[in-house]
Amino acid sequence: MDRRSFIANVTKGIIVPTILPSGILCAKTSERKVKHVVFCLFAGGIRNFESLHKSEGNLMPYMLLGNESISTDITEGIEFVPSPHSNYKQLEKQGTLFKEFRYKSDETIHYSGHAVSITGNYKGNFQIMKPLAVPTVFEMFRKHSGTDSTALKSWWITDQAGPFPYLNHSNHPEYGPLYGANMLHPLSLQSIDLNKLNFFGDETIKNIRAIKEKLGYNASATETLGIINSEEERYKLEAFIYQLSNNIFSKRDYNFWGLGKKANEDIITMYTAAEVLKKFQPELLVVNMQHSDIGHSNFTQMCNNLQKADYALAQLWNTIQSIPSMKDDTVLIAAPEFGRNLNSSTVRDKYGRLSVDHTGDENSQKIFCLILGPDNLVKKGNIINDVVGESIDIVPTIAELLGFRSRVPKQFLHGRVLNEAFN
Amino acid sequence: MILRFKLWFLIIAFTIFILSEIKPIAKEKEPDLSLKESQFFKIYEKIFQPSCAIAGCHNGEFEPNFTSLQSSYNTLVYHPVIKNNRKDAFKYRVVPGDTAASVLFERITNCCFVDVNDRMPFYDKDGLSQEEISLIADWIKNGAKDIFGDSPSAQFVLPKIEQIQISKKSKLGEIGVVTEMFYNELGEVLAQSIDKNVDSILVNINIHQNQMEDSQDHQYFLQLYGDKDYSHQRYELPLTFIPNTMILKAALSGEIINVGELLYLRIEVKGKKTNFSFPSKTTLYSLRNKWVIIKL
Repeated sequence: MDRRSFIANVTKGIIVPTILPSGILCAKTSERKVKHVVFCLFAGGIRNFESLHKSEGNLMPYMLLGNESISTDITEGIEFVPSPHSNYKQLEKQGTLFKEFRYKSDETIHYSGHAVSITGNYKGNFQIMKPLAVPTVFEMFRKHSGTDSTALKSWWITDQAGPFPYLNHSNHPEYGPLYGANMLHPLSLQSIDLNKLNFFGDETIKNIRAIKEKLGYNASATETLGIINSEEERYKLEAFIYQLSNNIFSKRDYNFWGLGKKANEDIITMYTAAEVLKKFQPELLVVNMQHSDIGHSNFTQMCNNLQKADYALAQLWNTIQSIPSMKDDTVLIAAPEFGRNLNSSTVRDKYGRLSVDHTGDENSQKIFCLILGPDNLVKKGNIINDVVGESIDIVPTIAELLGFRSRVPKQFLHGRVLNEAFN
Repeated sequence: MILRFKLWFLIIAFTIFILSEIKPIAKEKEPDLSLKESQFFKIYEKIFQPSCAIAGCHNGEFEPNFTSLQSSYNTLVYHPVIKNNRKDAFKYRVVPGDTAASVLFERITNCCFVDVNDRMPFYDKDGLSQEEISLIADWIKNGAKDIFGDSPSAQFVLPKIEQIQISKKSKLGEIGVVTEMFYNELGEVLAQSIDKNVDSILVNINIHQNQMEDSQDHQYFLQLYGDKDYSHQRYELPLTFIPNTMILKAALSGEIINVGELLYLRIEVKGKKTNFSFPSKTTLYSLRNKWVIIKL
């Protein structure tokens, strides 16, 4: 078996050739507002105190106006990212910021929080390591968008393995993997060198599993991955994975937006999302960051990761602006999955700061939501201080922007469109 | 012709002599019991692994580290608590024989350890079943024995392993297990792994300085347990201190040891055993088809 044949066989297990899934090729698309939506789950439990309220200084200088200095007692623990230029226009000035957004559930489990945002449903009975029972925004998009919405046009890029890869599709009988998104777990690419894998002989099966696992799937849990791409798309994907693996992740001192060794898991994940945008210009991409969750054991490190997440979001938006076909035709939505508790916990870090958990109190349901987009669509410098908007509104908003909301059965859309953000 | 025959005879005789002189210093012992039958194995398999070793939780991100049998045991029994309740009431995560003093038991039974709704496992809204809680309670009450059925020694009686330094030269590879080990003439332990992506490894085991004096009087053995199916292959290797250092090294040998997939390492001192932990998120690294050095 030659190398190309083998790869074709291997990827068959991952990505199978298909026909168009929607069956609604002639559907109207006129109400579509933009061609692309990027949704960044600014996750890990982000408390409004440290983000919007700047209780430790402005840890998010790319999103928020203000030059409040970082609390001196934790400064030593912050690996500062490059500061924005003096003429930089903060993201809050470039779009609409909901300052009193809500995650209206006391189930502050990261996986559930993600699932709520991706399905638009608080009551999905989300269980780890099991497929979702209610459809994701990816499936709604691919089934109802009325275009040739192949899997290559929708991506779920996750910063963690475990249950998170499961969020790319549900097992709902009317949706399911046929309409799922391509999923990538970039950090796993750091620990695999595809060129060095032995693709032949007895190790073949093992390596197929290794690739599956490295792509973020739990091979022991699901042998059939089910995501559908055409044969041509499979080759594009395979080439892209090789490119990422060999040109980026195999280089120890890779630049990662100028951060080098300061790049944490969030930065690497967002950087990969930017590479996906550049390569495929997907119509729907969801990416998450959640390493601010270190706040359970290290408050200062949480602040450190928060400022890196802010930097990564700005770089992702810059990337979108650098792609001609996406520049004026993309909406970016960013929101945490939930916040953190009002009261501190009991673990003290080396700077004397107490940790913060998220156990579903009222404060942990308070988050923000930022929406950026073309001038004629998204209101600029629009700060909404009222308690308006919640997590389940994001899916209907994406559906509205991509023009398929009216075709989604009502039982799957529990929220409303965040009209406050749009002209 | 006769000369040639004599020459062959001499070569064969010499080879037989050499082979007869080689004695393995690594000694395989018969298993005491199936590891799978141990209480701790069952708890790990039924509870810690599926419900706790989850991405973003206790998979090396936060302690206790439930990524492996060894890391689970080592970060529980007589391990000081990091997160205490507001009264600072607990000292260790597991105190053998005492569920009330074990924060592990508290976390799985108390709804509100620090905050409301913070019972573990956090992902399991209904909490552990009564049967699962009983499994953990019984294990603690029975002395929190390890997978070998050994009772943990009282804390700090045995020398504390201060540091295990593992360095690797490759940026690739997060998973790799040592499959074979042997010694060279310098007394270094050499290891081989199935992992192809790592160039070399270096492991130093340092004994805590304060316990040095006492430690010098003890005899140390490194025990290696291996094999994927937990068939309990065990080897014991005597360890000695490098003079004027706190570094233990294995004794001289040329014997190749194949333990299969290395599962567990521990050091035995004068019949008492101590388990040691690797830094979280770390396994042993080495290179396929090349011998690499582990200094002990």
